[in-house]
Amino acid sequence: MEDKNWLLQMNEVLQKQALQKTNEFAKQFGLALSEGDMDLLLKERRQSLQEQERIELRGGILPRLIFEFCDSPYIYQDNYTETIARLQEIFYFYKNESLDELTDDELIALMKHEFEGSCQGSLDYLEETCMERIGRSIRCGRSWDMEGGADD
Amino acid sequence: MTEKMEELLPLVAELADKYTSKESTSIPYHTARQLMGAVIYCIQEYQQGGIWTGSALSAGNRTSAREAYQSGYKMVLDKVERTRRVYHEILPDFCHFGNRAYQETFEKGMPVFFARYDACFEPQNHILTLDYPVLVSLEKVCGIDAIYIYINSIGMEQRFLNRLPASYIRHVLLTYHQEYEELFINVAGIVLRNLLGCMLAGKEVNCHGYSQKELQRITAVIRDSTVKELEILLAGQVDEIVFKAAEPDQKLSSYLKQDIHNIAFELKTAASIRTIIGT
Repeated sequence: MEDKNWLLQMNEVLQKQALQKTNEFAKQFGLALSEGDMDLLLKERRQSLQEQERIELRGGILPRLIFEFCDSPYIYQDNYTETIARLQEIFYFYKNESLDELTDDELIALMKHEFEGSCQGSLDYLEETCMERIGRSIRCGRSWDMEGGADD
Repeated sequence: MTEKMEELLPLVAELADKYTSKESTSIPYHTARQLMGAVIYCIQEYQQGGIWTGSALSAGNRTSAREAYQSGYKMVLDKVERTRRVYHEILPDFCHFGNRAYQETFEKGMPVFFARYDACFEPQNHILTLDYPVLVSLEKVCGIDAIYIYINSIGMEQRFLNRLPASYIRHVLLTYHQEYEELFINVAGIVLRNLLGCMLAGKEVNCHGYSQKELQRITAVIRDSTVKELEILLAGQVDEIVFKAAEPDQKLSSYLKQDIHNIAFELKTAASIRTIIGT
């Protein structure tokens, strides 16, 4: 049991260091995470991974989500933590729903494209409509083109 | 397995990187389980190899999990090659005597196994259901270990069966069941039962069945013995059969003796309910 806690703690320390580094980059867009925000995001990460029955053995997706989305006009300091937490949840959910056929970069790029495009910053629309459509297409064996949608 | 989790996790993480081509930071539980299984399988392969060869591990030297995994992985690859060689040695003379499960498992299934076996990411999965039953139990083995034992078992069976006339084997199988072609039965085990029956009856091995007198002789032997005594008697007869049918072959004898307990039990039960029928 102690071994497991030690591994978990080590992992979280590394994750937190990676999140701290994102602040340097995000501050140019007027965004920053406090210590409390980071703890909250890491807690949400643990919960999402558990819910989606996934495991992260190295690194994490949070810093990459932040780097990709921090320049979005729909994200500002007041909704920053909440939006990133939700994006993280959507990411893990659709990683499973796409049967791991999409790489992290592809999935994040699709999420960003939809979030800024047809969703106009709506996380509900992103999760329930746009990503659902993409997930279904991929499960049917069709590839997804960001501009043209599903390819038959 | 004495390795701790903190020794195994970096290996699983490296394997996960390879599995996802470093394009995914997370993997589903079932993939993680599969990769952890792969690491443990290779380490166990190394540990078993160490026991057999008396190498570093059995000499008490502490080998790191990484070294054990890497050596075990090489051993798995080596075993796949050895198994493939044995398979191709058996294949030209392989005879399934019309039994579909025998033919399909060996002639059709095995090439698929060799084409699809994944020694790196899932060495513990031997893919095939191995429908044709061999005499040794494969319950506690998996992956290439199971296939290695399975192919060697079939090799021994073929060595035994090829020394007997094919017409006799077909006759025995047909008498066992008219639709033996469709049954999941061990051909060598059925033939062995018939040979042992002939020896117990003190008759020649032929296709003429048993006379009433011969059946009485068998029944008397069975009634006068316990299962244990029958096993000892039959084991001696197996040695004799192997000696006559093939050259002295300890491995073949041991293999066929795997079925002795079942045969003794079947004979004892049949005698107790008076259902010994000569074939």
